[in-house]
Amino acid sequence: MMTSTETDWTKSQRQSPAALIIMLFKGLTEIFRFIWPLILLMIFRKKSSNVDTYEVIALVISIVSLARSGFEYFYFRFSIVNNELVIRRGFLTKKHITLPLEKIQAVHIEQTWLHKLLNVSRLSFDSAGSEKLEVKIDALDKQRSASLRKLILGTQRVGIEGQPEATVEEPLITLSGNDLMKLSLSANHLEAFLILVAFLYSSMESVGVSDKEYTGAIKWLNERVQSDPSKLMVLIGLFILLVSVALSVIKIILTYFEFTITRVGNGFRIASGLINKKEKFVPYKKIQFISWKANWVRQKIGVFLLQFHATGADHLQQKLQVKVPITRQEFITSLVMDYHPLLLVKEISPIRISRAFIFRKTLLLGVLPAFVLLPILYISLGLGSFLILALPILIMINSWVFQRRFRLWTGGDALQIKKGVFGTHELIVKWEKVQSVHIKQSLYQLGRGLASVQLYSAGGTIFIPYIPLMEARMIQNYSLYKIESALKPWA
Amino acid sequence: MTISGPFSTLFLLMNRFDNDPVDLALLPKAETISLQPIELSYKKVLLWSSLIGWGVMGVIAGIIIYFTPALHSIIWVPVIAAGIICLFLLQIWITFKSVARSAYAIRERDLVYQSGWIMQRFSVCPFNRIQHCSVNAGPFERKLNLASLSVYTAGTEGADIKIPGLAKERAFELRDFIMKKSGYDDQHGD
Repeated sequence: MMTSTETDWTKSQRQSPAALIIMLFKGLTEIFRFIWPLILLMIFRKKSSNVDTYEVIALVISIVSLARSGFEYFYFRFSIVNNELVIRRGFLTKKHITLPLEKIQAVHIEQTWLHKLLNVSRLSFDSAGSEKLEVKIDALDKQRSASLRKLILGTQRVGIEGQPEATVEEPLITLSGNDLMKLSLSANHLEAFLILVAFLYSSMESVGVSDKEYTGAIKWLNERVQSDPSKLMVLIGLFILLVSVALSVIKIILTYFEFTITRVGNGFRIASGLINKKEKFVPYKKIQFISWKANWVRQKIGVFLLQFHATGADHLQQKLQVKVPITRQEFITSLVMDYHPLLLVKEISPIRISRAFIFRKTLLLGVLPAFVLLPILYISLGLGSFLILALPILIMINSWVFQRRFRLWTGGDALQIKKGVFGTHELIVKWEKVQSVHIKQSLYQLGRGLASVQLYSAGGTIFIPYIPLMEARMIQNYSLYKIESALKPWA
Repeated sequence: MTISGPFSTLFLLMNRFDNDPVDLALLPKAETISLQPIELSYKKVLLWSSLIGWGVMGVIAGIIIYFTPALHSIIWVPVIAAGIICLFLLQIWITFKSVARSAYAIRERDLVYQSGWIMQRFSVCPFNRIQHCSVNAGPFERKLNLASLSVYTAGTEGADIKIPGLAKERAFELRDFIMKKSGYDDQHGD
């Protein structure tokens, strides 16, 4: 019997009224993104009684877009009928989406700052074989969101006796303030600084900072450099360092605040975020392979970024990529365990890449470009152009370190790779998750009995360069054997 | 029979997980299968496509020469023309070599395709990973009664196989066979 607080999902449901505000806000943000230079012009230009045609067009577009957002809300209905999630939406173009509940692999709950303010959540549903988040409900109050998710996941777990299985939740990782600080300080600060520079540059371009103002800034800098160059350089260096570190800290806190990863039934639930709170569910069967990496600093302090390469992650880039910060080595073993235990690499002799790799990379990426660029640069830079000759040396060192560190271990059900130049990058992939296997050989490799292997999965490509041809063929034949004899579906 | 090298560890691991041991030496070898070459008339398609491409390049070069007085000399015109012709011939030679190497085979559970000459590829796509197939034919291919068969998987870019230069009927036969096999293998696993 249904209590008064429960929702009858078989009846057509609207989103929460807050959805109207969220849709309007979304519409406004989209409009603002296109017409903000126009708004700036309207604010700062000299007052005139004439109404510009462009202003009228902008106003009409804005009104139409806002009206569309309103219609989207009023024409959006959803219900659960006969174990199917049914969504009807659209004003001019009607859409009718039917999603069988047993095909839903994950229900993601997300909260932006606006959702938090209005005490609602966004729900998105990930279905089997799909390469994108197909269906979503923009705003539903938190209680109804939780209830809907429970109902959908409960329906999937109905056992033989017809009773829902108890969902065991096992918290695996939470990040403390100390962990967040470790992550922030070991982040790629240079990247953060470059993002800031690019943002400032594009902003100045957009608001139209004139050449005169640029020249003025450079002149001011020149004067300071001439008066006390060393002091200024130190100050600039400190400023860059401080800004970059501050940016990294902000970015990490915004992304990983209250980060938790929980083992739930048939997957992991990952929640995090300060302003935009995200909760994602990664079903085990959607994981194609797992990788974990650390830059040089993070490797020293034992901080890694583990990534679940799920189906379709490569197509949607950021949207479906699930990255988990790891602050203790044993967490990797624990998280990877549900996919496949780490291989006992000490007991397995690894496959290594040939030294010919160093020579070939240095020649193609170092020597040839340097000799092509040298005469071109000489015309404009003079003797300074000879600095380009450092390129082959850098490429050679890079390739040499890569060749020395690369290890591939093959196991009965999975293969594991360890590589990296300025840090470490490891991955583990189950043979049965591979979609197709390609062996590549250049004429150079052909002469030396070497080959490269490409293992394509639905979560990304695994490239194994310059290994002996015999080993490449073994990898190809063995992976085909495992794929073709696999009883379980790959996703 | 003894297996040495890194793969010998597979036996060790299989015993650890109580799996039946697999004799790697007895695994079917994709590389030993005899392959069916693609139609040699496909060279004509590539020749005509290249002629059009290089013809456009020649016209652009002609326009540049016409509007650049510095190139109006008795030396530059033949040098540029000779350069374009040499590059065209080189490309044709490499393309023909690649066509001669292109071949395919259907095994019980997968599709094998070998292609390329400078960069040689040997690709295998299991039927139980194929999402869909398509047969395409451009204007030159239609004229020569040829078609290309594309096989798509859920893998990331580059995972798919495209076999060009098939007789049109053969391409459709292959498509139907692969789709039937992929549906069957998907449901029956082994």
